[in-house]
Amino acid sequence: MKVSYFASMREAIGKGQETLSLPDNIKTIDQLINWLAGSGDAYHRAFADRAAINVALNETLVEQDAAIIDTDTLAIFPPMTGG
Amino acid sequence: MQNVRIQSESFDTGAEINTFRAARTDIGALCAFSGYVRDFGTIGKLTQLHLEHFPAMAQKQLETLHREAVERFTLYDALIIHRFGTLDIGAEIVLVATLASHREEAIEATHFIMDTLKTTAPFWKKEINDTTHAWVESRAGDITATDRWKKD
Repeated sequence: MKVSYFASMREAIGKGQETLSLPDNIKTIDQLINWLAGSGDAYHRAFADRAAINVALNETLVEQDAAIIDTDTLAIFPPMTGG
Repeated sequence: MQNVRIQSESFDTGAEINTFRAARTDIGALCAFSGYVRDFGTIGKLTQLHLEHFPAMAQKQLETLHREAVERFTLYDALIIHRFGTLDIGAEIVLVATLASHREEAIEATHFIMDTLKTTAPFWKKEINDTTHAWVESRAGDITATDRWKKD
């Protein structure tokens, strides 16, 4: 699964994207975020405030409880500040 | 969709508005909103503003917003231009223009597009000056503004 990060989250994690193999027990976005947060300090810090995380599945905004499969693309980012 | 443009290049707001409504005699109303880079922010005086974006999603999101606005407010058309990259002080960031029969639809649609774009279009602003830089934080008021347009 391709995961992209943007803005301050990208800087905190240290990369703009990566390809992950979804473990069998990870079925939703929040489970993925929990898993990443447990895998390293940078992720843990970046994802500390769950309410401040926005996610897009296959380029569409979704809620964090959305289901995911390995062939999806995911983007994780802070609240948007365009306009 | 040619009336939804995401670009790094600067644009001439006046020329874009004129082109947008050129040669049409069926419209009674045009409303436009322009956003610019201010010379100050949370870090004090700014020298530049940098906009990061998620290209594929931004295009999709703005095209969906365009369709939604045209349908909801019975517009003849709408124009959305949003820049990305490193912008100078005073530079234009965004232009939204709407064409309608009457002023209420044109004005409401412009307001709807801007309020919705603020919290759902994947762009992130970073303030820059000679000593420091900082990501702009989203404002609670922006979420409220988006929410008030949601239909029950």
